[in-house]
Amino acid sequence: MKNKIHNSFVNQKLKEYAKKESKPLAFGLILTFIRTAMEIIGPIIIGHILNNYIKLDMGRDDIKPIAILLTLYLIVYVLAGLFSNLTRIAFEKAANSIAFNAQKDVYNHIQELPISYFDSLPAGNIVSRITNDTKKLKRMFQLILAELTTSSIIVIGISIMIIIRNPIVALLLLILVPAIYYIFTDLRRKTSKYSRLVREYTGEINATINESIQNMEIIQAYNKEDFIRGEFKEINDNIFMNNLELTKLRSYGGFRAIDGLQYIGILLVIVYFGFGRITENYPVTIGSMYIIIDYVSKIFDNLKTVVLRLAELEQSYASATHVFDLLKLDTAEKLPEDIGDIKGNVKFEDVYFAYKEEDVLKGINFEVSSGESIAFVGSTGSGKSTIINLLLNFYQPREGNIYLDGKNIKDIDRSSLRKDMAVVLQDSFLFESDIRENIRLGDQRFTDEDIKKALIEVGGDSIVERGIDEKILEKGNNLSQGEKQLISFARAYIRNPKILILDEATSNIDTETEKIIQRGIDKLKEDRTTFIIAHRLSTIKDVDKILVLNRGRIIESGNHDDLMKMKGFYRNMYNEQIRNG
Amino acid sequence: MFSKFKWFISYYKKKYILAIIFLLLSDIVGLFPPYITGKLTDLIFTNSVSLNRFFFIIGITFVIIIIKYFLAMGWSYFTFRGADEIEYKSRENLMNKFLRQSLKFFEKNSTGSLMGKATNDVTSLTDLAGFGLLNFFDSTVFPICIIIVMMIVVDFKLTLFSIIPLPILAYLCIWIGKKIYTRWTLVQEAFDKLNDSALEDVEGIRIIRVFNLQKLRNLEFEKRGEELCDRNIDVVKYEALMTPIQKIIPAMTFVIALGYGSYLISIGDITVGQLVSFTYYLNMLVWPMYAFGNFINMRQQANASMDRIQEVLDYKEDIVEKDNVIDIGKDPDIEFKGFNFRYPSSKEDILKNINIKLKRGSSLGVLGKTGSGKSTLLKQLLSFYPADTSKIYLNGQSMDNYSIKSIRDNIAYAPQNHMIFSKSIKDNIRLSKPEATDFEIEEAVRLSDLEKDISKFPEGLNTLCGEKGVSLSGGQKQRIAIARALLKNPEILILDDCMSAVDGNTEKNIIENINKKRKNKTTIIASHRISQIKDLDEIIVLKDGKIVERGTDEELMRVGKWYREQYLNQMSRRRFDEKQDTQ
Repeated sequence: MKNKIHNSFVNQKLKEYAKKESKPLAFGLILTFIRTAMEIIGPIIIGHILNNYIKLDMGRDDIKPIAILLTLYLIVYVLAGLFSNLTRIAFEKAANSIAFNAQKDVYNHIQELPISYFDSLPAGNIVSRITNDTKKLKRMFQLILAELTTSSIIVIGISIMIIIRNPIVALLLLILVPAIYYIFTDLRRKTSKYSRLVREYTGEINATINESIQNMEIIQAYNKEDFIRGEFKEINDNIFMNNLELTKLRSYGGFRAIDGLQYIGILLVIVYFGFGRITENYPVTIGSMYIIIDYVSKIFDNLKTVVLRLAELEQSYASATHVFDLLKLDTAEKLPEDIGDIKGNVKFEDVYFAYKEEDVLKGINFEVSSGESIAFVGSTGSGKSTIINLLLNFYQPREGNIYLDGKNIKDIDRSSLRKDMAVVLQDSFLFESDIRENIRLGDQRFTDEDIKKALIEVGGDSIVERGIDEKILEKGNNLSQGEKQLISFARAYIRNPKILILDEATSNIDTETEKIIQRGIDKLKEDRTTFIIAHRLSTIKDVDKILVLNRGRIIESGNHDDLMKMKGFYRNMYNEQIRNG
Repeated sequence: MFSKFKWFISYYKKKYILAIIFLLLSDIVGLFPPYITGKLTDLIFTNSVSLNRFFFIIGITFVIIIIKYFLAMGWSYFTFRGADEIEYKSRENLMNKFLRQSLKFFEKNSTGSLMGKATNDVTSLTDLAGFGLLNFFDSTVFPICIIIVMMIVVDFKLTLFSIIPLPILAYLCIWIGKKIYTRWTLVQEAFDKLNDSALEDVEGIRIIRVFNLQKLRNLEFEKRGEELCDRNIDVVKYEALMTPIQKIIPAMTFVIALGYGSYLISIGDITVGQLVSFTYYLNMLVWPMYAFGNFINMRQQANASMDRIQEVLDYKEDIVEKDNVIDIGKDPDIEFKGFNFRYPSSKEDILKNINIKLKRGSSLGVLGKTGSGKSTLLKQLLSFYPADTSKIYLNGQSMDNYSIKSIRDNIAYAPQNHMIFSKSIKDNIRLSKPEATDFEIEEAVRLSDLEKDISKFPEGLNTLCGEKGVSLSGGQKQRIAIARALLKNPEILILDDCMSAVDGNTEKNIIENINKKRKNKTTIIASHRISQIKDLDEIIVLKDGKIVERGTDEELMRVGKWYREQYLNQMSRRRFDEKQDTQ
């Protein structure tokens, strides 16, 4: 209610999803109607038996119709069971398909979001949107369809039946409606209030426990166990108090109250029939009394089902809306131009960039010609990686332009731009499949021979010996850092990119492996524009151009020899590393 | 049956007794309305009741319904309150246990697994104590009452024959439950896989975009999604089996009851009204059959959860103080004599033959590369890990003679990884001294050179940190940790490389403030930057856990090889930063 626009967006989306499943939904609905009819017929059979056949001293002739009717009764319920089974399956299939579709949509949408979205949120949270929240969405549809819709149809169907059979009883029962209404609104109001509070406090207490575990050193170092315990207790108390409110509600209202009303409803039916029979004001039969009592029970049984599911429905609705919040986020702007084949001339022209407020790059100018190699050095936070992020168009410069083969990259379609680029990052990212797949990345044109050749070229002979079928476990834990990076190199090499980017590609590797990889890098650099960000300066001695960055500015530039002659920042860094190395 | 939960049952005993009394009364009273309905049916349709008497009986029934409502309310209240309390208690027990553990415990148990206990496992205990218990009584006490009444009030044989299908229902419920359970684990697996694959895609988003893998990964993801969907449908098929069973078996009991019941009426053994009552009782017996299945499932889960929780609660503390420990006074002399240390998980010693004498009021700097043992050494005074404390002497006595709390009371500590809580900056600083005045806090903020940053925050010192609040830079977090340590104004200050993300000028300010403020007070600082420790009374250089160089700045510049090289390097590097700052 707080946010009407939001809700209408959600509801519209929900409808869209439901529409896609209209077939199983329609099938389920029709079966529900038939099943309701069965539930209506069942008691009529019993009523008929009570009215016409059961009496003292029955003979053979009386037994036979009873046997037939009872068989009929059993058949009716077997059918009702069968139909409700099919309904359930149809509805569940629909709910699962809806969740599946929503999952796909969320996933696709996330793939289109600008990279900055991934900087600000932990990966776990994003994944939870795709998986957990869509699961809740499924639960919501299950509840609405399998429980609420079915129950409502039965309640309505049977109510109509009571009105048709016996309008006066129906009128009499009408006095219970305000009470039922009150029970429902009271339940809704209080559960949504208290269960929201419980959820919030539970989230808070879990965060507190988590944080305490992680900051245990500080808590213990300052002898603040009791202090933290006090804070914890306060939240735990809050959870308890609100849970207790829910317990009270559960004890007097909702299910319990409907259960009480059920007896009263039956009592009202008896009053009507008893009064009629005793005063002989109107004709009544034992059979129809039985039928109406059975109907009333069924109505209340279904109301109880609804009551039990109401709280869960609200909760799952709340979670499901998270899914749609995400779908509302703007995706990265589509860029029109296709750059085609590139040569690899790159030019940065007075580029400024800020992730937040403070500029990380301040007026960066440089040019690289096709086939040249360029290295960026500087301390952490100097802006080296940001240059790469801009070149790949993960972010756009705040000011200034970047040109690739003379074309401003801000108009070039991202896939087209990256088509002839390959990147090796500091943390080699491997997918959980085998080594072959991690190198060819789904591109079937690469044969096993190509893959082995690429590995050997970059220095990964040992991996070829182990076999490229080897599975890669979670996070590549069965491989050493060096081996993982060799796979990343092979992945880049095999694509024969026009622009190669090595972003601290050797930082996490021991010097022994680095020597092997260094040979690979030399191989990789041939005939292409290469960007290198390096920590160890010894690895970039023979690149064509080195730019030294400090706090977003280029402070020195030239090749290794030039820079060493300058006796500046670079030389200082270099000497320090030689000494410590 | 509930042996694992004895601790809670005895804690909640009184209320459980009340709950059971309410339950029994409520169940017994609940048996009257069906009986009366049957009786009234007979009275009405055999024309043997007057209108007054009829309304009198209706009135009584109404009163019984109200009484039943209140009794059930009491029963429900005390049962579900038990669930609320077990949730409260078990969470509290866990937290108390966590707070008492050494860091060894947290090395052995991942945060994830501990959190799992405090959340999911606590929930399954709660489920058992609430709905589980409800199901338990509904499937035991309640049906027994009903069956007895049916036999007494209506007919023994009729009861016996009619309830024959019910055990089948109970059996099928349990059987389907088992089938669902095994398929459910498959669903869980598929879900985990989907989760992992989505996580992989989010974490590897850059690689995916650079290599244009979106389509490929999308197909992969869809395949996983489809698998999950299929497995879910597998479960659904079994779940949906419940619905026909729910319909057909009760219908069978009805057919038996009516068939045999008609015969009994025919020979005059029972009345029509009795048969009507009987059908109501039969109806009441259906729910207990499911309830039993539910209860079995919940108990199974809760038992497993209780075991997991109990395992933590029964964990023997790694550090146990001696019985006769005494409180140490203020400001002790500190001495390490041939001290060795290794972490529970490490294969070799991290600290080797450490000898240090630190007189009260003097200061110590610890230098060394990452992994040389600096942090480990500093942590020894705080007793985070079990260690050979007989080799550490405080005021000449071995450290294990003193209570850990009293030693920690002397110390303020700023760790390497800042450890910021999701509270306001003020509360984060105040953690070391909750009763501190605003003036004291501002002073600590000033000393840790945090003032200029605070003024930039939207709500100053009251700005929230952590996930819900502003994102702080590494340097800001470190300085909050320093302010926290300085606020306590401790006898012993320990700073563990806690200025690594702070820029040169700020570092200089902080060091100056500390040198001034900590004159003649015990101070220990570990760092890889010489600028932070060069003015301290004694400096030690650690390498692979051994002290390789020691002395004052002056001495080490003369004789310390490693120290001198580092010094020259770091000083020249610094010039560039300063040059650029003035640009």
